Amino acid sequence: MKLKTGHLVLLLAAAYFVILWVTAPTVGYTRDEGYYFKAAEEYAGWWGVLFSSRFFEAFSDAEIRRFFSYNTEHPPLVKLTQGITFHVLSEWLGLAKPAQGFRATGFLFGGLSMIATYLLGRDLVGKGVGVLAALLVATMPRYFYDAHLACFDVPITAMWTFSLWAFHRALIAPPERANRAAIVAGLVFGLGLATKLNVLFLPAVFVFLWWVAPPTPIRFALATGPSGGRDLRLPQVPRVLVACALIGPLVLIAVWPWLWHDTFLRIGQYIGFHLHHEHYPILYLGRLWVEPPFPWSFPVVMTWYTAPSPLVWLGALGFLVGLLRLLFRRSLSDALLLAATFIPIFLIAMPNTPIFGGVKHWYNALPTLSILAARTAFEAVQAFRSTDTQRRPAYALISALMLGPGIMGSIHSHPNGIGYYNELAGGFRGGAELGMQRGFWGGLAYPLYPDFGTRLPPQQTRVFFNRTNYDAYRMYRREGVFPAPISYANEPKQSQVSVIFEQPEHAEKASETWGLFGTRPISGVYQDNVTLVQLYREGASSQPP
Amino acid sequence: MGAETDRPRSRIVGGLALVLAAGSGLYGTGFWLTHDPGPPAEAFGPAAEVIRRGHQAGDLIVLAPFFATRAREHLGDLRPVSPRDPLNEDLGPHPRVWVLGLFGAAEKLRPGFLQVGLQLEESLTPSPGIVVDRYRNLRSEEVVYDFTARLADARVFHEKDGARVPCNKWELAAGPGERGKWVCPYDSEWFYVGPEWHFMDYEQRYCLWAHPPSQGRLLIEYPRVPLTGRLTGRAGHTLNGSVRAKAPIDFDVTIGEALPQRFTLPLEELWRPVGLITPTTGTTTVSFAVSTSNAGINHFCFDLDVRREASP
Repeated sequence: MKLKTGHLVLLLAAAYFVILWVTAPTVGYTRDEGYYFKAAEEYAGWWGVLFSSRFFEAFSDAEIRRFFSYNTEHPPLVKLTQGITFHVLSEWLGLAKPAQGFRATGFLFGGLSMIATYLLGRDLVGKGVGVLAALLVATMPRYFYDAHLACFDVPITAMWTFSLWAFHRALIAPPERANRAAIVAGLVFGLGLATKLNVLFLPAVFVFLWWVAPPTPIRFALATGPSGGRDLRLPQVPRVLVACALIGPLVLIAVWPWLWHDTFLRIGQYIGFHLHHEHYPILYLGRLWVEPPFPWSFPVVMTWYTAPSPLVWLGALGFLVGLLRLLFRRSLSDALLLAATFIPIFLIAMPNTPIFGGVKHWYNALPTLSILAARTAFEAVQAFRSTDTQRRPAYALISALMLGPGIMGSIHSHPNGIGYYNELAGGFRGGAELGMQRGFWGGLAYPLYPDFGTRLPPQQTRVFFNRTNYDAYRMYRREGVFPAPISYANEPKQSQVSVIFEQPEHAEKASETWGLFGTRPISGVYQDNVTLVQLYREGASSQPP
Repeated sequence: MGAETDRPRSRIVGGLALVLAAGSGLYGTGFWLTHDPGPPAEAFGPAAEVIRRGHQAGDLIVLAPFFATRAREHLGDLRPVSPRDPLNEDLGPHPRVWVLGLFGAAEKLRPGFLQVGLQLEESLTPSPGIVVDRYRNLRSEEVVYDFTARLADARVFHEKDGARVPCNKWELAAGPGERGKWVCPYDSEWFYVGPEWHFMDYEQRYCLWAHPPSQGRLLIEYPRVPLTGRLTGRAGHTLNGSVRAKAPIDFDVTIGEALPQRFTLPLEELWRPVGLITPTTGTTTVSFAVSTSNAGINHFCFDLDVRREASP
């Protein structure tokens, strides 16, 4: 049975990879992807030096600077993997276009995030809960959208969850397995550090778990030392904490060639970038926010409106039940689930934390929230059904009920899942009514681009792509998406065609476009008749159709 | 591994969880299966054609709800508006109002529009899912003098320390239509007065850009303005200005020899009504002065005119 459930999860993860692979070509390239395409390709060039007669030169600072000095604000694991999947799938096997090659890393981590959620759910509660939680994560529409991208948010969700699983496993390991489990936890934590910054906050969770369920009692005492003096006796720190503290940073440095020279300076620059990250505007409940203090409610309300409603309701109920159990029973599993759900959301809720990516920055809270929701549902069944035979169909039914909205929402919102709002908000229309951000990062305009052949003149046309950045544009060009000769303009006034996104923080570009070209869009991208993007063209936009 | 055995025995929590799971699951699935995505793209052509055929100069076209603006592809050249609250529009200058509504928005607007003096003349459903309403404005006003359109007649100055520096360079703007602006001799990239589109209260508005100077005030004088009872319109901070600027704007309106009327616009004023009662005969100089204690990113725009009650 154990093998069967494990195989089922592997199968589901593989199916998720395939679904992402098949559906990705309709998802436009986002702003950040443009940067990571470039970084991944540059980083991959380093392997060419490493596996050549210039092997030793690959370790010199000059060679490392040549290949790794771009995008040093993010660790390299995902970008290195993207370089590998790009070379294998696109360059060598010819199975995919370049962007699909880079994005395959995201698909892979999407599947891994399901496996990690299952493992954690299985260990904390049970296999069934693990499976349902994995599916709840995978079918959240915004997560499904992000799993298509060559970005870090789905990978870090996977690695955050693997780190939690490995830590918990090591913390409760019997003494004969404790060392090995601790080393594994340290390695996994290190890979998490090499994935994205979020993992830096995991030690807070780890220490909290140690405090809740210490393998040996935590006692500070004064004792007589060998010299006869009074010594402070510290509690025994679990091996897994020591392993994470020592092995984790070493793995980060080992995986990131950029840190092999000027290590501390460059780590400082990496951390410093995020301590002083700029604030991005966000439209929230009808108001444009551009600078702190941001509303603390943002991540809570956004989760409420963007996670499928069964996950929201049962996750919230599960959180409350977990809190009571933590308080009254000092339960380790509840401590883990609550802390790992709370901290990512709490960090974004802090008024001075930059909000610059909508919900993706607390995706790492989803696996544990999903486990809480799934556990609540399964325990509800157990409260009313006493035997396994009676429970199985009820588990299946309640799982289907809980997964339905997410699956339907994912299907319906594709490929515009970045602007998805759930049934509590009223879908895309409801999100717009509420005055929420309809989209960002420039990917939503993609359906317009293949149409350029019929909409633009055959001669060279300058296009203001607006939120579609230059690196994403380069990828579109490289893949032959534009059927007409196109060049990139930085401003509407330098262009003949202008792409306007429904983002009030950039509305001045629409104002400028209306003044230059006229007020009639010639085309657009709409979801449920909610305007996401509109296209304007010199001449045509000032005339009737 | 160590699956914990602390299962709840509470049937209350379990029952609540089952109700929530079943309720939210069924509702959520049903929502996505049955929700109305609105009319297809091809439905907009016939609906727009109805409006275009009947459209007359001065008519206002409202697209509702505000987020559903696909009809701009068909009617954009007629400058339809799609404000969050159409009832808050300045309907005075428009003898007729068209509403192109989706998702029942046109029907929802009817009681409010009737209250503000519109009379529903015709309602059509030219395509499934699209309702076109045509109203007559029983309280419409005739625009006698449009300050935005008559900018070329104005004189613009930067007043500072008792001196006046004329902003007398007339530059034609790029784009369709004959538009020009008065440019000041310094900081010309932002220090000018000209009709432009700006995002005012979450809607693109055609208005007079008038950025306050760092010191002193920007003065715009219109000579020989006919007075017919009302000087009215809207003014406000652009959205980006409102969230980034640091100080309110003082907007002084002076009619002839009268004392100036000051309108102080805090940053949250995105498109507020501005109005004055004027004499009903004669002509005079009307001036607008824009000033602030902190000009940084203080993007200001106004659209005013002189009106009189339209003859029935």
